[in-house]
Amino acid sequence: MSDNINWAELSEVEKIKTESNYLRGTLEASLADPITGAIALDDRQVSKFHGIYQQFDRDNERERKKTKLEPDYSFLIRVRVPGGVVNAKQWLQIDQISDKYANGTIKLTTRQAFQFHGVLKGNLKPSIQSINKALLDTIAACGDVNRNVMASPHPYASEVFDQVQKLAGKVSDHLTPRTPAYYEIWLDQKKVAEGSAGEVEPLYGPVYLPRKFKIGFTTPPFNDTDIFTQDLGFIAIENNGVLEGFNIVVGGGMGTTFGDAETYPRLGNVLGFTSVENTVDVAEKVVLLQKELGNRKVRKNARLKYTIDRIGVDAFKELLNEKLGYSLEPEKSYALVRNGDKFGWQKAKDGLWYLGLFIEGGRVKDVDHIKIKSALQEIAKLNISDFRLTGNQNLILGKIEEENKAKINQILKKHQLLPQAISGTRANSIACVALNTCSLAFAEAERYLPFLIDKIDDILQEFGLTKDKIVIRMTGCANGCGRPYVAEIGFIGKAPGRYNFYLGGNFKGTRLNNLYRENVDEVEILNELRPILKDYSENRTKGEEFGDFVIRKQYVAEIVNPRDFKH
Amino acid sequence: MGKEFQINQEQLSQLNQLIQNLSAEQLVWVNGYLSGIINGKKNAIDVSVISSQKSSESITILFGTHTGHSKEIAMDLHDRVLALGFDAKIQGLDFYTKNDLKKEKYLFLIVSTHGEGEAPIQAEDLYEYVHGKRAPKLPDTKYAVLALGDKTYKKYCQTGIDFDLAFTKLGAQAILPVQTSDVAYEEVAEQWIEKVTGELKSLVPEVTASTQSASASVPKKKFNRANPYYAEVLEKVRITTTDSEKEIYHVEISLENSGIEYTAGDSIGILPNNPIDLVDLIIDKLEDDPERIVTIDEKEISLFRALQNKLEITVLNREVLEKYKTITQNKDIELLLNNEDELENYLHGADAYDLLEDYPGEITSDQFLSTLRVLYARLYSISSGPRANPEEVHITIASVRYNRKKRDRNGACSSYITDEVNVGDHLPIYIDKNESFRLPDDENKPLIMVGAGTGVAPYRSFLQEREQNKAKGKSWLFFGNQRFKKDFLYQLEWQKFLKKGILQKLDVAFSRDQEEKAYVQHRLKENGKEVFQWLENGAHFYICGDKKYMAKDVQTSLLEIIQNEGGITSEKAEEYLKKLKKEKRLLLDVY
Repeated sequence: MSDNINWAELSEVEKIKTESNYLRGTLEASLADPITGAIALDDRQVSKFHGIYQQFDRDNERERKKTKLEPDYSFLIRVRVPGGVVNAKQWLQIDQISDKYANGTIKLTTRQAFQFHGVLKGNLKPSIQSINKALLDTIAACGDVNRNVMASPHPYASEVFDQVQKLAGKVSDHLTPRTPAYYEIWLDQKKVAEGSAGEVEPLYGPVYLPRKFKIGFTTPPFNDTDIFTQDLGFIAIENNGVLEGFNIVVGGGMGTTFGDAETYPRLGNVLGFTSVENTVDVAEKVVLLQKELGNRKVRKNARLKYTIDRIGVDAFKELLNEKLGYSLEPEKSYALVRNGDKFGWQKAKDGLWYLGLFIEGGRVKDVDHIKIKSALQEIAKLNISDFRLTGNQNLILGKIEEENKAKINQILKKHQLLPQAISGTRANSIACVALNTCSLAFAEAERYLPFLIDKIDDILQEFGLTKDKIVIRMTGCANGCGRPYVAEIGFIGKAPGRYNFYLGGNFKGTRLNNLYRENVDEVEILNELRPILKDYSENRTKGEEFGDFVIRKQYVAEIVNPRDFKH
Repeated sequence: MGKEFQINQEQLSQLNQLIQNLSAEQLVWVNGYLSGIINGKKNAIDVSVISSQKSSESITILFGTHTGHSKEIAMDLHDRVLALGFDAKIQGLDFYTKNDLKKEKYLFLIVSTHGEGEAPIQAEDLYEYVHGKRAPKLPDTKYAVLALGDKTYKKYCQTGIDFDLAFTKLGAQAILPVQTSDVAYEEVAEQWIEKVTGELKSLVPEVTASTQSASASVPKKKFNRANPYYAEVLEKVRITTTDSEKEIYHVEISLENSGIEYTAGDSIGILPNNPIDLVDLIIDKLEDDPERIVTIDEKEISLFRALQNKLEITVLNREVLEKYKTITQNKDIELLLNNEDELENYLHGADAYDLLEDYPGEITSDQFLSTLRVLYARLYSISSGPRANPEEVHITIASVRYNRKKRDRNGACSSYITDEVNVGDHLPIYIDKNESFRLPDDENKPLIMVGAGTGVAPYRSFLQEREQNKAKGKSWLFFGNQRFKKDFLYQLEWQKFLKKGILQKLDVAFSRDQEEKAYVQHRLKENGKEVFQWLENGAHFYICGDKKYMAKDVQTSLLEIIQNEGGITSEKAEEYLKKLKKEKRLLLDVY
């Protein structure tokens, strides 16, 4: 980079990226430092591009400080799975890594990735080597680059499903950083001679993107990748079993910061339609535009959604057409039905069977007599299915021959995982990791939501709503990893035991919710929710979904302009 | 110096270019020439340089932050204060030395509140300090507090408000009332900075008069084993995790108004109480009455008290066994006394109750008491620097617990302190001078410090002392224990010393973190070349901790290093080592 950059003006991370020498930073020195379980401050930014977040156990933080010991540092490793599909052998390898190097659990994320938690510094390298042996990787799983590309893993309603999955993989490959740093640091590959900026990172250059970038594909009628929350979304347009192309959605994003009115969640805008052939090209050009136009001074306003609001949707479309050298076609009609997952056995158009399994909070682990992890390991060993991570932290066992269904049923029943008798609300729940490992969390999410839903279930049962599907999501902070801003019932952590309470997203994931009550505790949540659910059970119209009902009955106003969003 | 007086990199390289070809005589001439220019350019420069130096120690800006906002504001204020020509110190609360508080003349604190009225972790230590009973009086401190918070919480800005109140209570004078601010803090912060700088301009005199208070000399009393000082325990905290196999405590003891002084390297003697369950066992075995009055050292006390804190009962020695044999005429004990190996084995772990149990014989209660030694004091290396902790002494104690013959045994002093002594209790102590374990007189000399387990204690004292003395010499610590996560004693403090440059190098060996056991001597050998270089550069080499294994192994390794790196014979290496000892550059505190 030239020397005339005014660093004081740019956000701190911009300097760190620039000086990192294509994401090397001082990671190797940090890994070798025996005095601390942590890595150097700047490396905590650089490591994200390698799929690694430094964390510490917040439960014992104070106790350890009193003991004059540093926090109990460990790392999160995120494994990219573009489209969310792995084979049985890969599942087994992931399972083993979680036991050997992590805390013995696997987290299925809201972006169809695997996450390991509790990996000690000394175990980072062997973990990442094992992940790569499983033909998976962690590069660009986090950081200011394109993250894991999502694609609906539900093949039930469409014949173009596999084709969309493959395209998601192609886009992912095309947008993967090219720096050799990852291979040098983790896989002990020899340092290659340094080339010019253009050679090392032809697409990203040395400073990468201003902020993270999220891409998703969805195949209607499903919207399980919450396409309007992505920086860039592709809605598959199908005509009699043939994939015609995609509607292009830009400028969605969830993250906000409490107290900062310049931050808000935003749903993407449909810009137009593009053919299958141009899909990768469109993805690249949108990324390049954001690279050039995104705000590098204020990190909190760096996402594409703010870029688009700054220059306007139409102007952005014009710039895109200019960069493409051709114009997007007008958008084609489509219909989305739901953003949740289907559970139980389904036969898809490929003639094979798929089993949707609810995984609470996306956490694969053995608890008491319910041994999800052991059961899935047993199934993987049979090698009669693939494993599909959904955008709702759930799992689909896929491509199963008719005659193998019984074997899977038997294993799941043995471990009391079938049948899954859960309320429609629990089945449509998402919780981010939050405490005790996420450093951003103000409140519990994954560890607490199941218990809150127990209590909500009691109310649902009282009013005969147990079977109704209501999308409920909880996050420990306002950054939105669990996409709480489009939930029908959303909770965002403010302080231990206290949440902002949102209502009014819809079941399809096409509407933002609105703040209903601020900074409330469990008692207040239940007291507030109860009369609304009662009202819903008595006064809903036929087939009216909960999110639509609360808007009609004016419990909250519909958010039309995202800038009106309160947090 | 203020920012405007510093020359930048570019100017410096220009200057260097200019002078590099000049001869010595020419440089002298240039020196004179420049002085002339400076004197001609009004004396404003000179004066402000001096005044900024004068006030350099007296303005301190502290921040306690969770999100980084407080830090940003603090940095802003710092820039503005510098721009006024003052010099000022800026520091995060986690790196602030508490004892500096009473020295502060102008103190500005920007602190946020976390959750429901809690101090950010960074600020916790100082928060507790100013609210605790050790809080100093602050009659000479002027201050202002900016409290950040979030109005959606009930205890809005509570931490800042608390600090303000505490400072006032301690006698400090508020320049401004405490300023609170909601999440949109920028404007309030800006106004606050304006006010602070405005006040500073009118308050700080051009030249601050030094206010050295002549400290009244406290007459030194003599405390010793026979006449211990009963010192209050200020703090007792376990510094290994609860799941660690090692149970080690950090104990802080008050010396306030005792007149007791110590030097880094000294030890503290503590007169313990024996474990009560052992006392009970012995009295039961003797079939005696705990309240019966006995005479020890010509003083009449109860049998219970005699066994609890006058006589040695947790450990035996040959002399005790001899006396016991004479009275009981037990033949087996005679055999034991004649077998050195078995005797050593027995003395390692057997207590007074074992003696009665293992070698029964005719002996009265009073006779038995007469065989026992007077309870001796336990010595612990002091882990605090005297200058950094005036009127306090810190120690680092590992609990001695073991099981022998199906009975749990506890070390007399360590279990006394860990199980029975609480904050606020008084411990009988005295200082045990240790002239053979001292920092070098020359503060530029490098230190190599090797300690395993609690053997690291005196090095904490050394480094605190060197920090206070602003010593220039480098230091290198080798520390060993069992597990990184559980018993890295004072880990946070070493990290701070490293960051501050008080400690240059720290090498650690955690024996149980990998399959093959690793100890400090292995780390020494791995660094042999550099260790030898340090020695050649005059380093003082310290060993503290276990005498039997660690100290021996470390010295063997040191000898190998000297031989290999010096390229000399083993005899010559021995001589080198002897010379080190003679020059008091190889110093041991082992036990």
